[in-house]
Amino acid sequence: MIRQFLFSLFSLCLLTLAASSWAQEPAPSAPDAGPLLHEAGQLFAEVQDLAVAWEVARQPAPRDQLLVLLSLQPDERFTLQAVALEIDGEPVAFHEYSTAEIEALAAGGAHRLLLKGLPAGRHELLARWHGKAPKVKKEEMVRELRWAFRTGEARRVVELELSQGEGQPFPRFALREWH
Amino acid sequence: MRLPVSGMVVLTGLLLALPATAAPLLDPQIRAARFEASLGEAPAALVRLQAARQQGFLDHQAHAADLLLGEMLLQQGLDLPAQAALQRVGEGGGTAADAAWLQLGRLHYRRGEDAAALAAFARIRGPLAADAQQERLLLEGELLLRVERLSEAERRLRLLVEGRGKRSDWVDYGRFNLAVVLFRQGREDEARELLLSLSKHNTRDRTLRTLSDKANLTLAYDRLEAGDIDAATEFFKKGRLTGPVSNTALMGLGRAWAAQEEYKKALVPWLRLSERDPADPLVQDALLAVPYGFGKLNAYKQALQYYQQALGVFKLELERIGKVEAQVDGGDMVRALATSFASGDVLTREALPALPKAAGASHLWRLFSTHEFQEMLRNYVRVDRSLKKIARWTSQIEADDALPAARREALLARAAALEARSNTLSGKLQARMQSLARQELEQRRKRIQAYSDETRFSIAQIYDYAAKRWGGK
Repeated sequence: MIRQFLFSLFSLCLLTLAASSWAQEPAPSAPDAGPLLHEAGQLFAEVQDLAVAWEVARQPAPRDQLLVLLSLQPDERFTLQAVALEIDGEPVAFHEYSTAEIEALAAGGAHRLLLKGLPAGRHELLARWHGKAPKVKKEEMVRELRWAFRTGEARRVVELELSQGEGQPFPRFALREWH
Repeated sequence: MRLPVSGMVVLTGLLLALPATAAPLLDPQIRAARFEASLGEAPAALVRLQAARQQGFLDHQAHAADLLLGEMLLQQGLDLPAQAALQRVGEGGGTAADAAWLQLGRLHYRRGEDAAALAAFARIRGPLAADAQQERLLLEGELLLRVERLSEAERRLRLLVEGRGKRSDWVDYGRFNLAVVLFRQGREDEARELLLSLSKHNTRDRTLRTLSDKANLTLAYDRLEAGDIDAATEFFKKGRLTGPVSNTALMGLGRAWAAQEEYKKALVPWLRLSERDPADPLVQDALLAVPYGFGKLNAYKQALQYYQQALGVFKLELERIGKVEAQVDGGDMVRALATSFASGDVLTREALPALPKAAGASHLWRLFSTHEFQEMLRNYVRVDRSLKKIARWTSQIEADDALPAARREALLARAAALEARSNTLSGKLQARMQSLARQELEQRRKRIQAYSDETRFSIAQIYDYAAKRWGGK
């Protein structure tokens, strides 16, 4: 009798085994999770929209905007340390670059150096690159570039480029306007 | 042998970590977003990029901007706007389109939108980078298998496994999934050969070891069903005794010995298994299998002793379930999970030891590892983060004197409305997770109660048998 009973118990064990180890009992499912997750997705998108709306509200009117960005190509002749900007003789930006930032620039990034609203009319931008040129006698090196421009009609976007000037003793310091 | 689709293995946790192919980004505003993101300022970079795109400042490079926007939105968990941005790039054609379709395929795959994922992958035209192509083939193969398009699944997985690409996790998982496809097609010899090649891995690589264990387990069950008990036993023995599938292997090994009436040998893995965490249903099975084995050896005294031990464990287990229920009802489970869960996490059984005790992980891991639960948890964590952001922005907007008053008031009104909706949604998500946990615990309670009843009955029968045979001595 006990043998019979134990056999039936083992059959139960085997059935249980088959259920738990092979087919796996289904875990409770959430059949109506979809709408809730969709609601969450929409909410997150709207929270992000609020951040964007605030960013737009904080920016100057597009026609008055001047956006200055900086980029560089790695060049052993010049190690960038800092960049200073003046507009109409007034200092408006100064940034010292960390090693991580130089690496991110060398990897193809661009740094937003300045976003400013300017009154409509003529202006002058002065960009000054500070760095080290290991191969020259006086190692400290500063390069300047001036650019005259007009605001009040359209947004101005300029990129300060430090690129490898081919066949020249120093890298090329240039300003490029984007339309 | 018919393998369930759940036998397949995939690498969901890695999907978003892999770079997609991207066209060169020329406009410095786009490059600025990459620069800021690489320096750990991705959220701010994303907002600026979206603002520039929204105002039409990047219309001249719309596809490049949208591709980056889509990638960054995905990384921030903003699926809906990401989908819209990537769809624009994909539909626009050109060099960036394939990268967009790949991202969309991944996105739909992750969300369980199988048909949309297959449709997105099907729109990729040109060659992808080697890693991306391997990932695409693995995912497509799995999606096709799910809808029983077996020969197409096989074609994709063969391209992956036999392609010239370098060895990677994608390829190893592809071999396992190809074996599943071949089993489903009835081509068992080919499937076995593939699994055998995986089963031989003896490495410290965690992925490969787990795959090897799964291959051995599959081969063992295959041999067990074919009645080749010796071979099944050998495959069960090859598996690790500590891996994620070791409990299944121990139970299977005992079962293989028992099928040969070798109960002494069967008791070795069953006893070992019966000492593990009793929250695991396989351990509960072992608690009953052990006294059964002793009974088969006519060792009724030990059988009785182990039945009584099992009864004690089941009683304790019911008390533990009661405690976990209290943690669920009091909100401790969700709170504990939320504090230890990063948005990119995937809760697998291996990750459970790292979870706080209040989460009830050992009883609820099956629920935790479901896609729906993890998505709800992920969203719950994000809602909490959104609430913190909204509170911070509200005080900053209030203090921003440069903003025109009307704009400030409009922004504050939007923030207040979003805060209220976030609080409501947080409550709904928490309630849903609690309800699922209660269902799971109730299932467990019923199972253990049934096991306890069976155990008591067995004990009574042993006493009855003894009384009849030995007169109650």
